[in-house]
Amino acid sequence: MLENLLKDIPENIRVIITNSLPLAIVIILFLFVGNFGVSKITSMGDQVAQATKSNNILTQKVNTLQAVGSIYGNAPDMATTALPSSDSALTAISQIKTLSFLQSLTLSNIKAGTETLDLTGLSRVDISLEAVGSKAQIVAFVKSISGIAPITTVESIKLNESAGSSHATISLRTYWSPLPKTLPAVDQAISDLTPDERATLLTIGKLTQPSFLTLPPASGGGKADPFSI
Amino acid sequence: MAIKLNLLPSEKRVGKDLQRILRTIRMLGVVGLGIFIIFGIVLIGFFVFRSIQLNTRDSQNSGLKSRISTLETSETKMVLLKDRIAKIKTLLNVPTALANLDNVNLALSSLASDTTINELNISTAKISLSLNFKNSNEIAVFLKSLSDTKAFKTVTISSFSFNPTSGYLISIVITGT
Repeated sequence: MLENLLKDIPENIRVIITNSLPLAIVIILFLFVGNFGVSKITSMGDQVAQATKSNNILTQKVNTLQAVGSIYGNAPDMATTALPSSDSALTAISQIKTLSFLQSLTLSNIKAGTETLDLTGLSRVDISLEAVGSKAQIVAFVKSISGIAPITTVESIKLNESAGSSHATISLRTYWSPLPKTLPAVDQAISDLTPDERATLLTIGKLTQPSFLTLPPASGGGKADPFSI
Repeated sequence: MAIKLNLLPSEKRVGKDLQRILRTIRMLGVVGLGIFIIFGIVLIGFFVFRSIQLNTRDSQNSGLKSRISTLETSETKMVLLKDRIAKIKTLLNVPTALANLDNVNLALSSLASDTTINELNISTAKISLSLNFKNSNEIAVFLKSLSDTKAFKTVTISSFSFNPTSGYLISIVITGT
């Protein structure tokens, strides 16, 4: 076929074409296969790099998560008590009453306001109360409020003395915040706590936790057949 | 002696120079084909290697993802812990009246037993207090203890009065710690 195509062409040119054709074909193949193959391999290299990156993230995540249970134990519970997920006023008042009992103070007019959005972005409730006792007792009581969970801050203290005893009106704020609703994507990195976060966790650990009484369900005793007399 | 004969018609004869060039071109074609075959084999080998690597990584990742889903409780705990810690850290930096209480309490501890605190208001921004002194020496001691407390920015005596029955009545406003 090639012979037929080239029969009218001068001999010299025909020889050049027939001899150069294999080289031309090799060059074209080089260009085509090279372009396709190299781009394919580059894209696979990118995929491998991405998969390796995900692999590292996932391995680190598994290691971190496996350590969480053993290292941090009940830390999430402590943190949730320090900053509850719902209105913390009742727990805070209970804690404050315990503190006043320890300081032999008499508390009265304990009032809790309504939920307010604080400047920190957290929800808060303002609590006001009146305390009667000695100045030293009141000061010790107010100072001890910063050591309770849920975290309660002292906004103002109004104190006056008469007839040997002191009367204080104290304004407090207690905070809460809803729990996070979603977990991060499975291939999203999760890091261990930073030294700064651990320091905050230590501070949380020093807070006085509220003592809740959990009543266990009544066991045994019931009739096998409740309809039998 | 061997005689070289060229039986081709003269119009079909190719010049010696052109023959040399054509030989080189043919050789280049053969060498190029060889290189191309080697290049192709290397390319296929690399492709197979990358495919195996990718499959291995993908299967490892699937295994790790299933392990992560079994550790969901721990992940929830970690997310919760980080969320609470970040918010609590903000709260721990909220200014409170405690710093002012600590500072003014130092000064108040120097008061004599017969000095009474008519009113003491402590907020996050300022302290205002009204004291009733029985004698002027106690005023000097108290003011010195206030000035010794380096934490206050300003100490202003807002009122000063004397009554022979109750003694000296002083109102002070203190700002900043």
